[in-house]
Amino acid sequence: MPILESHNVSKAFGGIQALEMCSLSVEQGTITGLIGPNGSGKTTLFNIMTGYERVDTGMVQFQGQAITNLAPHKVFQLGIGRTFQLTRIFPRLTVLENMHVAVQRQGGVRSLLSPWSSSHEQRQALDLLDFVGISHLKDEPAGNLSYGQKKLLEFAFILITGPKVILLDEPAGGINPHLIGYLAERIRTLNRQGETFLIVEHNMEFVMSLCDNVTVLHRGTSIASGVPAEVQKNPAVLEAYLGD
Amino acid sequence: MVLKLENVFAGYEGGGDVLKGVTFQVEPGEVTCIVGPNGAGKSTALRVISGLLKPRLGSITFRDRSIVGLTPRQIMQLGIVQVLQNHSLFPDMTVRENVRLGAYLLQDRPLVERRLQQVEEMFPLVNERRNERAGSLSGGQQRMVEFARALMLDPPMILLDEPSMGLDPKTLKQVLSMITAMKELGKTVLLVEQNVRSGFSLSSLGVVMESGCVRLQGKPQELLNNPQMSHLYLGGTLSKA
Repeated sequence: MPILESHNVSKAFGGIQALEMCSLSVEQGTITGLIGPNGSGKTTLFNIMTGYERVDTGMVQFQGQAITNLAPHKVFQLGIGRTFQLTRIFPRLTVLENMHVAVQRQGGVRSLLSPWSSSHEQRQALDLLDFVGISHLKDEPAGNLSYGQKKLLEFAFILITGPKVILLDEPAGGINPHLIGYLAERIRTLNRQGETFLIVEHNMEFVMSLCDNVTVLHRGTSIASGVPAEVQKNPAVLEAYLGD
Repeated sequence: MVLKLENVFAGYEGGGDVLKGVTFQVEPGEVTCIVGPNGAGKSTALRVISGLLKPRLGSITFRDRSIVGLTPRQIMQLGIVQVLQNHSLFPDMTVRENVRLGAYLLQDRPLVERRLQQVEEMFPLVNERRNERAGSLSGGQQRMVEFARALMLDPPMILLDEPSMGLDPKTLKQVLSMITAMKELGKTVLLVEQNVRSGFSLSSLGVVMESGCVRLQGKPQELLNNPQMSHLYLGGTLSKA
């Protein structure tokens, strides 16, 4: 059963048609990959599914309910967490303080004024930093982290809020090969525990070895969808994306 | 040797040293690739060269001249241009306005227009979307505009921070062949790359950094076969995970 879906979504920015009758379905408990050439509309679709952009026409559903054009915080409260291509963290707060903000779910200064509501939460934050491999940086200002480390922090940031679906925008970009393997293993572990993932990524080895299903966008519309081995052989995908 | 870093220490506000005695050199007309784990100090090494960050200690020479303490503008005038890792376009300006800004040091208007034409020919996307707001382009497309902008000064040395990031496989191939083309034009390229295979395939020298130091350097093929390299950096491969 699909947990998150878009139906015939269209979206234009000025003269640019970013999405054109775009449909995507994410089955519960799967890892779904979303690939496509630069500018094919992947991030726009992410933005629409998480309330950061409004559709011109079409519909978004989560667990069978319409969530089209809901505000981002409402979408988040329903249990859809996401990361961004450009990381969104608080640069002047330490890594652990960033986790504290995330766990409060209300953001900003207000949550910093309240202490950790339980030692369990702090423990969980440290465990998650450990889980993504950056617990040794817990007292560093987050702004001093390298790009790859910021992406890992953002991942931990999302995990602590316990979402039902996690949308990852280029999780492997800027991450070293060793950590990419580690990250893939982490995603698999969470998936075995029941977490659903939708992942935009250009690293084909990562996508093809990790995802149960892959959807390919081209010029704002889905041109192929299926298991990785099938999609990889699809001539339209080779032409539009892989360039072989 | 065109560029030399010797025993360079540098860090950011509120933190310790990120570079802890970095020494390496870059040969003219060659592609040199820095690799290493996240947080090793690779991007920081580029930033001390381009003047965005001042080293606390150590020397940096470009064409036998010390560039420590020069402003980024002065370093650019000497011929070093950096393409940053993070998106650095002005989103509300058009693509062409952004690209033209790459030549803001040049007074010679006809030269700027000529360069603009050359760069737009080299990057079809930049040409097609020249009148669009840069912010309306996707992440990967913005990267292409950043490359185009960096070429406006026709610099002898170019610093690229993770050129492969955010690019689809087809565009990545174009960018890699563009780097090779730069080398053929006699330019010196210093790049930071997580994608070791694609980075090393273009390079004549590899530099492996870890924890703010250079641990290994040498011919890329030799480094790839060096067991220390896999221990430091590559770890397990994805297929084994």
